[in-house]
Amino acid sequence: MSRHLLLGVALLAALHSAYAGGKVLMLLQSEKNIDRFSSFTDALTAAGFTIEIKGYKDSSLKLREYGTWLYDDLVLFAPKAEGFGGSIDQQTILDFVDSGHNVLLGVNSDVSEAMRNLAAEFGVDLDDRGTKVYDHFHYAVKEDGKQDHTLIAATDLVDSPVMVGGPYKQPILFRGLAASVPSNSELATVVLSAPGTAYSHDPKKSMIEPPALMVGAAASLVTAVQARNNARMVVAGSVEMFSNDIFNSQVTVNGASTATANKDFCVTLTRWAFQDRGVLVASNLRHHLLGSEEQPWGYRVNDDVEFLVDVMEHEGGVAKPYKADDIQLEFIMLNPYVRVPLQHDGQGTFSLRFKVPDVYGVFKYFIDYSHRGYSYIKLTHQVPVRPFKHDEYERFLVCAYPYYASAASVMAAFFALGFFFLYHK
Amino acid sequence: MRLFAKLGQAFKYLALTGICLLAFSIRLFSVVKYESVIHEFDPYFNYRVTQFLTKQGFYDMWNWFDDRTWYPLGRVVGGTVYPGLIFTAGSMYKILHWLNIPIHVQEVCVFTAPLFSAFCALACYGLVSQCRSHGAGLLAAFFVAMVPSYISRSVAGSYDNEGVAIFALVNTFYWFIKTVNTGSVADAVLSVLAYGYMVLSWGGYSFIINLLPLYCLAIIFFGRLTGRLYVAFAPLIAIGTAISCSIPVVGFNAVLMSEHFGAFFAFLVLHVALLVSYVKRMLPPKQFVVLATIVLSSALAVGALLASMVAAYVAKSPTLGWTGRSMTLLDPTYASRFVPIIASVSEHQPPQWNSYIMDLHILIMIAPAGILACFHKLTDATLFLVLYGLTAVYFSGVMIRLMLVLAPAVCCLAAVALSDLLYVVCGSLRAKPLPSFFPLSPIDPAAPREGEEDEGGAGAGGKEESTPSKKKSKPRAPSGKAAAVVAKLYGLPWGVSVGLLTVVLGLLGLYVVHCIHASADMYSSPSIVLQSPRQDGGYYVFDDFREAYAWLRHNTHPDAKVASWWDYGYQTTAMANRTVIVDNNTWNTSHIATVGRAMSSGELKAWNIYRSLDVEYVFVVFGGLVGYPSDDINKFLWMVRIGGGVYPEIKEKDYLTSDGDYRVDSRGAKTMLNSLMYKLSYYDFADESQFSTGQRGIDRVRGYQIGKLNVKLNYFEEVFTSQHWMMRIYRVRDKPLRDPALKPGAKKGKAAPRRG
Repeated sequence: MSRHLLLGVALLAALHSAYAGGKVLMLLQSEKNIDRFSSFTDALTAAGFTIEIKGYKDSSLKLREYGTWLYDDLVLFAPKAEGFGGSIDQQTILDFVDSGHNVLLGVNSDVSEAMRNLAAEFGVDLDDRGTKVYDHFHYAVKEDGKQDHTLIAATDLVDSPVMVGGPYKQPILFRGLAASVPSNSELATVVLSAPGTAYSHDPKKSMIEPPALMVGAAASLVTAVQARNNARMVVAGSVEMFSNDIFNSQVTVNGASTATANKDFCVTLTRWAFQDRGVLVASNLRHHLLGSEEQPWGYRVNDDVEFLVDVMEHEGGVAKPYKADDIQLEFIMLNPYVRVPLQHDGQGTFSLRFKVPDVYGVFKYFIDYSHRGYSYIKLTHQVPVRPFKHDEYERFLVCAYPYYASAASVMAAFFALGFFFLYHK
Repeated sequence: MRLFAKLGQAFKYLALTGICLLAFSIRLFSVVKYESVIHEFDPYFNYRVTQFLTKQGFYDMWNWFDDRTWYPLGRVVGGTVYPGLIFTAGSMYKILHWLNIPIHVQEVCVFTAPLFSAFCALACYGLVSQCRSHGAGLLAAFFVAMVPSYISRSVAGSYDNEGVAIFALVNTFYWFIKTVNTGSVADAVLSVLAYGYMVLSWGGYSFIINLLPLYCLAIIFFGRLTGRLYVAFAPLIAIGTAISCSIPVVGFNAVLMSEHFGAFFAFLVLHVALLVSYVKRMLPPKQFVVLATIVLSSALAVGALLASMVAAYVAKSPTLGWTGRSMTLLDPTYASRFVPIIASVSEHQPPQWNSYIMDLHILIMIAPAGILACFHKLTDATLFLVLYGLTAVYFSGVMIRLMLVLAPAVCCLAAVALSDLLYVVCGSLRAKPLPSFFPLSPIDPAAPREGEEDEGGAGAGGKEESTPSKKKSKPRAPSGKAAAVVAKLYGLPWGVSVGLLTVVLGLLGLYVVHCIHASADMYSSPSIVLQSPRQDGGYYVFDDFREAYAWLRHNTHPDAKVASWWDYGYQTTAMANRTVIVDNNTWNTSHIATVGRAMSSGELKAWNIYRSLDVEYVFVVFGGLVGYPSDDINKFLWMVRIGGGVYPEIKEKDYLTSDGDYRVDSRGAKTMLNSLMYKLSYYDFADESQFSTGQRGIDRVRGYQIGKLNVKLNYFEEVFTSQHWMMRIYRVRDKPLRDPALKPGAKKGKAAPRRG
């Protein structure tokens, strides 16, 4: 018994570590830069990730071997890369994403066309090569005192603690390229947007009149995309914001000296991107008639039923009950007949009791939950609703008694008449 | 003499047995030439329900809510199906298994229709021998056993309602006429039961419920009203209506729809007529006249009131209380104007004249003579035959499917005519030794009838008309009065008789040859397997449908929804066992219109429609590669019409060329060439046809090159195409996992959903 327990604990531990730590491949512009991001990688390692760092031209690179993905997540900090060594190309990376894996893409103003195309495939439109984000009001001055209006001190974070952590009192420093997100995009979230006074411009080119610039909040500095298969992609316009240099620097913004929030922000966001935070797992969908535990084949119209589903939030490999009031359940046949928020019991079980509509057909339970920062929940479960069986109607209706009486009296009268006719002389 | 009568009886039964065997075996060509398989479309549904019945039992079938058709509406099968056929086959299956004969339910279904054709021959025999004589009955049975029109719907494998319903129809008539002839309550009970079985089996029961009142009124009009008619008619209406009410598919329609009002009206008139004759008997004539005036005038007032009430009730409904299908019958142009879904079915089209010759052959020419013959010696029963024949001719002219109702009528009438002719001819041959001219004496009107009866065997229907004393007269040497009668009747010269006999026998021979040809070569194709003759005399078999259905069954998720035009719905559920959106039970026009709309829209719109219906696979039937003409491109205008009937944005003229032609070549309308139907049919077709015909995109059904050769699909992907391209299955792509950002310079419309 105790051995079993031990084994169980060991297994759990193994599972836990396996879950918490994805295998990460980090591709840098050059292997010499390894030390530049050591704080970042150390923080990730501390969070349980196993990181393999290579230069992007390394000829031994491969993401996939014999149809198996070798890594769970990919960090691309090689803005200038036009191609990759080994067997990695853009299609491989897209396949990697489409099979549910995650990518963190960091670029800067020297971005290559290949990186821009990759970002575009993710759904993020990076600004042209050579452009930089300028802000002549919200910029940070480093300890060396040199004024650099491209070192933006951004504070406009998305309101989603699960993605970015926080709230942060310190600014997040950024130097690099802006991006834009199509206005009809369903999947992309602007995580960090530029201050209202910022703009994106290539200083080597003349300003066209009227200026067609990305200005203010329209310029996205860090963008997160969650694909429909819950694979996550983060496109950061600045590699530098992940570097030790920025993580540890003390800067002056508008005269006030402050530390940067970059480290917390970047690590939290990366953990989010690598599905270490904000992952919802819905399981154990079940439904039954009230007063019965068995899951039926289907319902009859007007039945009272209960629907339950367990939703757990996974963070750092640990599942905890998810608590929200905005998960809606729909009961659909062509149109939703029921659309009601689910109640949760604090233990992660979401449930709803309702009356099946007085319409028969093939209904489906449908939950389509997409809350910013959390993985999507999309559940469909088909349940036929049948009409009454022939013997389920009421046998005698009160309102029909006059008709019964009339039928009976006709029969009696006929019998009497026939008797009279036949036997009365 | 006794011996002869016995031999005659024996011969009669022998002949009937032979006819039954013939009726059964002439329908087996389909099994011999193809295989023992369920045919066409509707039979597949019946087969599926029968399977369900044999597995789950009677009550479960009665209450079956089928969630695999009409997704997501579902279908209450028990309440929307005429269950007669299914119960019949199900019970046969149960009985056979009870007898330890382990036959598969499919075989039972395949052979149900031939079996009931044999029963139908018997019923026809009964009906005509009630009307005329046993000889005529035998002829009628012989005719109906092999009439091509009936064969076309009852070959082995054609497991459709008509297979048992035609038997049920004739059977009802038989018991009804028998009751009219005998006045027996037992027969009346049987006729009510026969009617109940008919209602259980086929919507065509409304033909009976309208024909019989008509007959009843005619009898009253001709002054032939007797108590026997009352015994036959009244229970049929009263109890028959109660029975039909308790069959879910009919339900309250039996008292609410206009189809049934005629019966109630005749029921009323019958009572009034009987009352009048009763009162007339009780009162002296003078008083009767006075009473009649009073009653008539007040009855007129009440009648007018009632009539206006009924008229008001009826006028409330746009179709005057008639169901759409009945309206189609009464007004042949109704369906083509208002109900494209009825008009789109080929068997609902009016028949062409040659199909009368094809399906009824010599019978259609002899039948009018039968009507004359019926009038010649008019009885209650022959009057019925005349009415049956006339009404059936009208209905058959409206819908080709109703040729089936006409077939037994024509057989009976032709049998009456031919048997009268044969009596005269054969009688002349036997009477030949007599001198041709005899001094005529008054003729006993009953004599001709009596003559027939002896010829045919035992006494026929009208018992009260034949007395035992007369029975023996005929076979003796004719003398005196009887001889005169014989001479008058059978006075044809010998040569003429022989000639006529030869002609009649020759015609019958031709009929047999024609029927066998029709059964063997024309009506046996199961339509899911096609054959075409090869040069070496063998057959080339196209088995694409079953190939594709098998693919669906083995390669898709059991809960996948499959969309196609409704023709293939029953087959998909039965053969592929997948959920369909619409099927041949065309009860919900708007749902069918939605599918029609998707097929006639562009790709993106169609994709949205299909996604909203949870459709995962779409298939089209395409004949362009092998020249199979009844494919979806040829049916496409009906999809447009039916879709346009509900969604006005679809207009038929958008799919026609400026000249109003329907073409898919380069002159074809742009909307047509962009429709999903065109794309799914011709996707990748150009290359394939270059391979087979040497020219790109030659459609062998239409006979020209198609309009757009390079068909690109963005929202659908081809997953299966059968060997001869007759069925092409596509998957509705999922939403893409990512939405790539459009970059200036990048190609537009690259919202390509994910593959695989």
